[in-house]
Amino acid sequence: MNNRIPVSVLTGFLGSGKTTALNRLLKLPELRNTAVIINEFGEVGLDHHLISTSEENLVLLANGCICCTVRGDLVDTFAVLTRRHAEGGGTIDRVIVETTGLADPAPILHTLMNEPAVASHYRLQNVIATVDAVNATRTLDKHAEAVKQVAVADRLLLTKADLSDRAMLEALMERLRTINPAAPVIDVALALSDASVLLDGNDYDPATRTQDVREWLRLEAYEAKPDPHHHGHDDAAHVHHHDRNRHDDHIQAYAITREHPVTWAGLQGWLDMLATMRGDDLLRVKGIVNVVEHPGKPVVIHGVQHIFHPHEFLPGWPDGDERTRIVFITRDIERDIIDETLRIFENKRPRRPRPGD
Amino acid sequence: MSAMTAERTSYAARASRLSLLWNDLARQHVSMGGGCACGIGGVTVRLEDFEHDIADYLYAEAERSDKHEVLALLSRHIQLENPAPDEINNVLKALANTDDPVPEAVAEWVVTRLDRTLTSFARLHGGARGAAP
Repeated sequence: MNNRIPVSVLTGFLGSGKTTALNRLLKLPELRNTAVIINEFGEVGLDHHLISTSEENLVLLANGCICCTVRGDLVDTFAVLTRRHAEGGGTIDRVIVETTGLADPAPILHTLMNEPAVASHYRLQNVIATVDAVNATRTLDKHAEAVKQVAVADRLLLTKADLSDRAMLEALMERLRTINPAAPVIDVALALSDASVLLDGNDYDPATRTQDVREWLRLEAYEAKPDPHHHGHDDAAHVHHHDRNRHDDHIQAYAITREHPVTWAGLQGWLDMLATMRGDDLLRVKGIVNVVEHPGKPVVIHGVQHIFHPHEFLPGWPDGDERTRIVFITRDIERDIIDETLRIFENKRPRRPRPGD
Repeated sequence: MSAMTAERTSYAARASRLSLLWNDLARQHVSMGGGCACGIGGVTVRLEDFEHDIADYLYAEAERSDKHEVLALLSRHIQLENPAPDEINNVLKALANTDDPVPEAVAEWVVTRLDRTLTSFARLHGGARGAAP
C-alpha cells in the first residue's frame, strides 16, 4: 500500500481559474508525470481542449453528471490508468482529478476513499479548491456549492489576487478562515514557483506515516478561527451588511477532544448514527481516536458526508498526545450537538452485567 | 404551595414536556441517501433506535456518581441486558407522575440530563432531510 499513487482533487467554482491554474501547473517539470482526469459538465467538453498534457495521460469522463453516477466512470478511468501504467505506458507519479465547476466533490472523494479497485492503487492526497480573489465574495454569497467546495478543501488556491485590492483580499481571507480554518490559502504564483506547497502533504497515510498527525488535523486552526459575527473593525473591508442567511452561516468548523479513551462500540455507533441521520451535512470529518479496546493503537477516522474511509489503526501514537481529537466541518450541525451525542455513546459497551448479577 | 413542592412540580412539568418531545420525534423515520448510487440509499433510522443508548448512558452515569436512588428509579424501567421499547419514555412518565412523585433530587438529576440529551437529539433530528412521520 506504500506505493499507491497520490491523487489530488481540484475543485472550484465556474470561472475561478481552475483550468488556467492547472494548465500552468502542468508545465512545471515536477508535474511531467501527472495524469489528469477531467469531469466535465454540459454537452460541450471544453476543458480538455484547454489542458496541455500528454495525451495518453489525459482521460475525459464521458459522463458529466455531478451526482454519484460519476463513480462508475471514475472507477473505469482509474482502471484504464492502472492498466496503462502496468503495461509500461509511461510513469505516473500523481493524478489530478479536475471536477466541473458546479460539482460537489464528495462523490469523487467517496470513490477514492472506498472503492477497492481505486483505493488499492491510489490514495487521496488532498482536495484543492480554487478561489477567485475578485469574484469569490459574490460567488460565495450566491452559490451554496461554492461554499461547500471551500469547506471540504484541504488547500485553497487563490487566483487573480493581482486584480484585487488589499481590503478586499483581507475580507476574503477572513471569510475563508471562518468557513475552513485549517485550509491554508496559497497564491497561485507561489504554487507555480513551488508546486509542492500545493500538491504535497495533507494526506495522513498510516502506511507511510509521512505526515505528522498534527499537520493533518490542524487542531489549533479550529481553536483560533475568527468569529464570523464579530464586527469590531473599522476597516472598510469589514463594513458590510451581514446577511445571516448567507451560505457561510450554515457552515460550522470545530474540533472535539476527549481526554479519556472511548469504546469501540461507542465510536462506531456514534459515527453510524451521525452519518445516517445527518450524512448530507457532515462535509468533512477527520480524527485520531483513543479506543479503550486498543490501547496504544489509535484509530484514524476520515469521512466525507455519509461515507467513512475504512478505519485504520496506527501502530502507536504519532505525536505523544494521546487525546481523541476529531475535527468537523458541518452544515448546520452545531458543536454542542456533536459533543452531547458523543457523550451518550463514548462509554457504550456491547453488553454489561447489571450490578449484583 | 411550598417551594419544594413547586420545584417538584416544575421537574414533573419538564419531564412531561420531554416526554411529548420524544414521543413526537422518536418514531419518525430519517432516510439516508435515497437518490444516491453509493449503495447506502434506502437506509432509514428512527430516534427510538437510539433510545437504549441514551438509557444505557443514563444508567452508567448514575452508577459512576453513586446515585443509588436514581439507579432504583432507572432499574424499574431500563433493562440493560434485554432492552425494551419505551425505556426513556417510561422514565419520563414516572417523573411526570405527580400522584406518585419521585424524590426531588432524583427528578433534578435525571431531568437535567435528559433535557440536555433529548434536546440535542431533537436538534440533530430536526436538521435531518427526509424526516417523515
